[in-house]
Amino acid sequence: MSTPRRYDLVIVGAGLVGGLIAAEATRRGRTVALIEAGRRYNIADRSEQLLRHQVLGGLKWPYLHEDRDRYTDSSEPSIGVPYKLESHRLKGVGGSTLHWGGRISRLKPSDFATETAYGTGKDWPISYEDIEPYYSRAEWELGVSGSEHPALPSRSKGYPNPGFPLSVDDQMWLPVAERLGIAVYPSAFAINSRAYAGRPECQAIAACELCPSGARYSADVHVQLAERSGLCDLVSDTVARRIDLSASGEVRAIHVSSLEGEEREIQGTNYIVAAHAVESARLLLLSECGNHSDQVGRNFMEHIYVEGGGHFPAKRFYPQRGGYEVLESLSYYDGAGRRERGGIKIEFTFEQDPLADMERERIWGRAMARHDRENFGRWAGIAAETEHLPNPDSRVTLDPEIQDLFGDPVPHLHLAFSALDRQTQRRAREIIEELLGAAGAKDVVQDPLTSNSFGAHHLGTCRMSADPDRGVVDSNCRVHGTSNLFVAGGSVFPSGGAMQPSLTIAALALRLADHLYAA
Amino acid sequence: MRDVPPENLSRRRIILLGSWAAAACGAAGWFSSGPASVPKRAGGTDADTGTLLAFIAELFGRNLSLQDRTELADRLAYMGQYRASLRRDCSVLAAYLDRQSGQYGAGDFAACSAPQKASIVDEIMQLPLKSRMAFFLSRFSRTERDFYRMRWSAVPQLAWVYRHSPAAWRARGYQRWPGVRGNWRDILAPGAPYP
Repeated sequence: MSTPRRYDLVIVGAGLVGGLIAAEATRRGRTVALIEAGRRYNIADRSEQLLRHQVLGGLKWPYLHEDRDRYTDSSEPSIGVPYKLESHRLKGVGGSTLHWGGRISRLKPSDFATETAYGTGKDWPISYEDIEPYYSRAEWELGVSGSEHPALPSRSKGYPNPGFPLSVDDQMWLPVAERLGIAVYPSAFAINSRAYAGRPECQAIAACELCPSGARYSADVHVQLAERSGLCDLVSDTVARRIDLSASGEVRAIHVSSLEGEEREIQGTNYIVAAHAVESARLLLLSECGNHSDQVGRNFMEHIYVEGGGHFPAKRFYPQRGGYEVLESLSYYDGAGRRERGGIKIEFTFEQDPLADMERERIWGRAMARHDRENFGRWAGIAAETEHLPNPDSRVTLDPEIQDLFGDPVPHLHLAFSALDRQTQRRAREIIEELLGAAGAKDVVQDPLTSNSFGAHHLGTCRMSADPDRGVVDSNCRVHGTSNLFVAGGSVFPSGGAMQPSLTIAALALRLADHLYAA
Repeated sequence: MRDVPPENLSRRRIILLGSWAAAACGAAGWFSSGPASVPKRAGGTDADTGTLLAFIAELFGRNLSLQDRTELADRLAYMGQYRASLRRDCSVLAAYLDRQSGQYGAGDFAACSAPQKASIVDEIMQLPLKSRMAFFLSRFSRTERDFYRMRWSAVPQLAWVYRHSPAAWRARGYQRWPGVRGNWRDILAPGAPYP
């Protein structure tokens, strides 16, 4: 019998964090085991996936494994809408970057100290200055296309690719913004505006969540880099079930099971849990790791999209011609108002399909053709990404009754809003009303919150804190009370701001790699 | 443990009894939501495709070009290949459309005049099926089940296929649509207007 291999690093989760750290570790000559519950997808299949969605509908990545991915949810009574975890996370090599839109934001410096500055949220134990160099590195790893703008946080290095300019449709907001005195700018995207790092220029296929061309970054890119080094073993279709932690706080091994039921343990020098905020918390709870202060699973946060729109009878926009809209604003993000609410980022949208009104409006035939002619492209909307403040009652626990295919308790979600969160959402509605009114929109409608109102940004549950009694990991992402166990990803965010979190997740991953393997 | 009977027990008994009676009636075919029962025929035929394309055109009030028809036919074939249940439901709809066309003396739905097609589509779209009772009856009566599937499976599916097809975008003056490779710099040009 051969001696089981011992790796320098064992990572649970082959998503954004796992891919980046595996690539960094192997570049520095370290051996890595990358454990992934999901399967490996072939990029060549994405065109077929897109056609399947266009013909059959449903999820664009409908590859749930029902027994493996079960969960329970008690969020509905507290937030008024069901929370659909199955459409928000993606288990597979590349993780949720397989189905993201690619919009990229840095947190603002103020997001790292909201408790001190505004008395809301939770301060990070690190500052924007600490993470800034890693933001720049992450932008170059992912191939971000962006344009510098005074409204955006300061930066030490330019973007690797030129930003996408405002579309013809986006430009309709410029005079409105000028009149209201708000700053608008084109958002950055992890989509190549020119060929970069072996990936092609964006081909405007307008299906970013699948991106058949590969111009939009997904983390399987870095997993492949790590594998090509010959130092990384990818262990896919395999679920990490327990962390074997000694009384002295040292992890000895990770116990895993393949979907076929084969069990084994994987040993290493260091261990990183990077399995998304829900599964990372679940693995720590199952293993009774890092929960001495009852913090694991708490402060589960999301980003709530408050949306509204109105009609512009005298204008016609042409959504989807170039693939996406890029305009956004941070003018309502900070300021004194943030003492009574969370941050709010504004995004501008133009997509609404009159043909989808068939059942609701009960129109068909020539009336439908007339309806489409009269309404297509006459609509513009606002999506306000709002901060969900940390709340210990918003949490992931283990369901005491339901088990997965291995007999382990499934995660139980209880997503909760506070009065401040609802105040944030109310303020967002006021802003939407103000912007659409200033633009001359007719028939303004504020959309109710639905299960589609979330950013699918899972944050919190293993938060970073210098104080072991108030968090799960320290400022280097090491689990308090352990010597070689780390948690990385959105789960360590003490507060989440109102920005897409992937760039911060990537920056934290690179920072952790430096911490482990600094020259 | 509950030691006191719930107050609405008798009301529940009445509902249960009524439900069983309705189910029995449905099974016996004593009543139906639709104007006629649905004929049976083998699914997934060329005749089905021609009828369904004519239905899609009428549903959205559009004339389909030869290119539109070819592309939509391909997508319908793809749909049938991956979802047997949808192929069956669409076949039920096609058979019903063709049968209703008979009352106008037409051989099939595609051969009907525009007003005749509109009348048949109106009839289908107005089927009063979106109720708990309709759903319940569809569990027991084959006719009811066919109507239910036709209206709440086949029609929405065909609408989805059209909405996401090149035909829908082309009708709006687009030369390119999601799924087709192009140049992202197109966002800088207004493009062709809605015809």
